[in-house]
Amino acid sequence: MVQALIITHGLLGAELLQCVEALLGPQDGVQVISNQGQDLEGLCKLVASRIPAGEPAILFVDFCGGSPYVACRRACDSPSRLAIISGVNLPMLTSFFTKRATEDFDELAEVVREDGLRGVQLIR
Amino acid sequence: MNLLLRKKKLRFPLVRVDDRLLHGQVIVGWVQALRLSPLYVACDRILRDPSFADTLRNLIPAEATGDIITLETAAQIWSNGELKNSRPMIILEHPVDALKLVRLGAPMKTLTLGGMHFREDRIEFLPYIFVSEWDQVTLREIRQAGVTIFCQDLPTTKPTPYNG
Repeated sequence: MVQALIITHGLLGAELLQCVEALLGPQDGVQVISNQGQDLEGLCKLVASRIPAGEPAILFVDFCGGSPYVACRRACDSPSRLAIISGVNLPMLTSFFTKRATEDFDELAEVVREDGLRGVQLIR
Repeated sequence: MNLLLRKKKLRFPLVRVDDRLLHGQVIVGWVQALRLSPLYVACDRILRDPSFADTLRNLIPAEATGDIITLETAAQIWSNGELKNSRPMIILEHPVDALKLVRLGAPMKTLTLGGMHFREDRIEFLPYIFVSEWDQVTLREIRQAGVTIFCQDLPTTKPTPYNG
């Protein structure tokens, strides 16, 4: 099963997961990491240590350019089984948790990104 | 126009010690909010890992120029006046890099401590500034070279003088 790591500023990741679980029930194979109180080196080591060995995983980060993003870029040495998606939002995560059992890894990463983008609408 | 842009009297280049290097506070909070450019990260350690240096280089926002450079290059372009007539920011990873910059001849007058996170040997000065004995010695030496040191994580935060 594809694993998820949600790496964000502050409590954003923990709150997002809580919202996901309020919609979909408890989820396995997901970890949340906050950058709170971490320097870049510390965060890099933390992320690297939490990436499941030998298993495919998607690393969700809140925005492209923050320390969670930089730490993930540094930790991702096996692109074939790891993907980073920035701009994590609720539609992206619900997509991931409902589709990870049926899509293969490369497609899953694409579909989850698309679903996240589809969640961003301007209404007026 | 952005309120911060009008009322702030800033001394350029802004020199910031931040052990997260380029991240949200720097890119959004400082560079984009105050329209700073060029943005330099002066860090010999990062340059020893070219792919990581590239990752950081790609984070420099489109509206700014900049690069990841050695401390020596930073001291050079600063001393020979290349940073004049712009709104530059220089990011340093640790206080010791600021001291090296001074010793390399950079005419530094002020230094901002923007982020020094908790480690085993560090004690808290502010929630975003933790200092070890070694940091304290280093910062004292920088001050003795005539540099005013203060702590400020964001432009909207009131600067706190560092006299430790």
